[in-house]
Amino acid sequence: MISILVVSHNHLCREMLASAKMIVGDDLPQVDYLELLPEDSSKSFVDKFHEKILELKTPDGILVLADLFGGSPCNACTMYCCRSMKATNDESQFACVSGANLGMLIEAVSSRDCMTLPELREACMESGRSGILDTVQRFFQA
Amino acid sequence: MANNIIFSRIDSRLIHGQVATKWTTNYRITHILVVDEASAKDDFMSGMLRMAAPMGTQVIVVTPEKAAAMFRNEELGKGRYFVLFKDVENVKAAFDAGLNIPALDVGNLPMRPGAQAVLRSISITEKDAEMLKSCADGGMEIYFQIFPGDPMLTLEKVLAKHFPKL
Repeated sequence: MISILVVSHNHLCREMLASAKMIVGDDLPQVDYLELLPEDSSKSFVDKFHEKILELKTPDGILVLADLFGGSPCNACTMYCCRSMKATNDESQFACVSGANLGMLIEAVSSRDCMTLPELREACMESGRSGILDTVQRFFQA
Repeated sequence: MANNIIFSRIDSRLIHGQVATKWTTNYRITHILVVDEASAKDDFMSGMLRMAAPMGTQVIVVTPEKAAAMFRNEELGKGRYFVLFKDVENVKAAFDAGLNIPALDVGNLPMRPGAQAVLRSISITEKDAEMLKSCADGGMEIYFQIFPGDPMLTLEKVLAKHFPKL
C-alpha cells in the first residue's frame, strides 16, 4: 500500500489530517504529517523528513502532499525526493504534489489501495482541482 | 537597463513561500534573477530553483559575475526583475563586478557564530556589516525589512546600534 505524508507551514498538515479523519475514519495506517515550525531550519526540517520517509517506506512508494507550491516544505521535500530518485535511478519511489487540500487528501487515502503511485498522483491533482467551484453560481444555475 | 530591477533582496532561503507569494505579487514581478555562486554552479540546485518559480515568473540562476555582465551588456529583455541574493558575499561580489542596484532589502539571514540579531529572522556578522557598508558607501540604499509593509530599518541605524565601530 502507498504511504502518504502531508507537509505544511505550521499546523495545517496536522489539522488537515484530523479533518480527513472526520470524513474517512481514524483507521489510517501509513499516513503521517510533518510541520515546518517557525523555529525550524531547512536542515532540521529535512532531517525530520528523512526520518518520516524511513518510517513510511514501502515497495509501493510514498506520496507527499505539500501545502504550497514554491514554499519551503514543498521545496525541501521535492529536493529530497529528486536527489534520492537520481541516486538510486528509481523514479517509482516518490511523488510530490503541491497545493494540498482536503479533497486531495481524501482522494489519496481512499484510492491508494487500488492505484499505482503515478495513478494516485494524477487522481490527487485532478481531485484537488475539481473541488474548486463557485457554489453560489451553481445554485443559481441549477 | 537597470530600471528593469524592480526589487532586490537578500534571502538565505532563496525562493520560498514568502518570496513566491508576497514579494513577487506585490511588485508584479516577471523574472527572478537568483544571484548565487554555489547554486549557479550546481545543475541540480539550479533546476530546483527553476522548478520553484512562482506561476507567471521565470527564474534565472547566475553567478555574481554573470549577473553583472548581463546588466552591463543589457542582456535582460523587457520585464520586471526581482534580484534575489543568497547572502551578503554574493551582493558584494556582484557589486564589485559592476552590478548597479539602487536599493537592497536585507530580508533573511540565519543566526551564525559571531552574528548579531538585527530583527527576528535577520542576523548579520561584522564581516556582513563591513561588506554592506562598502556597498552603501558606493551608493546602494540598504535597509532591513522582513515583510512588505513592515517598517524599514536603515543600515545606518543597524550599524549605529550593533557595530558602532564601523
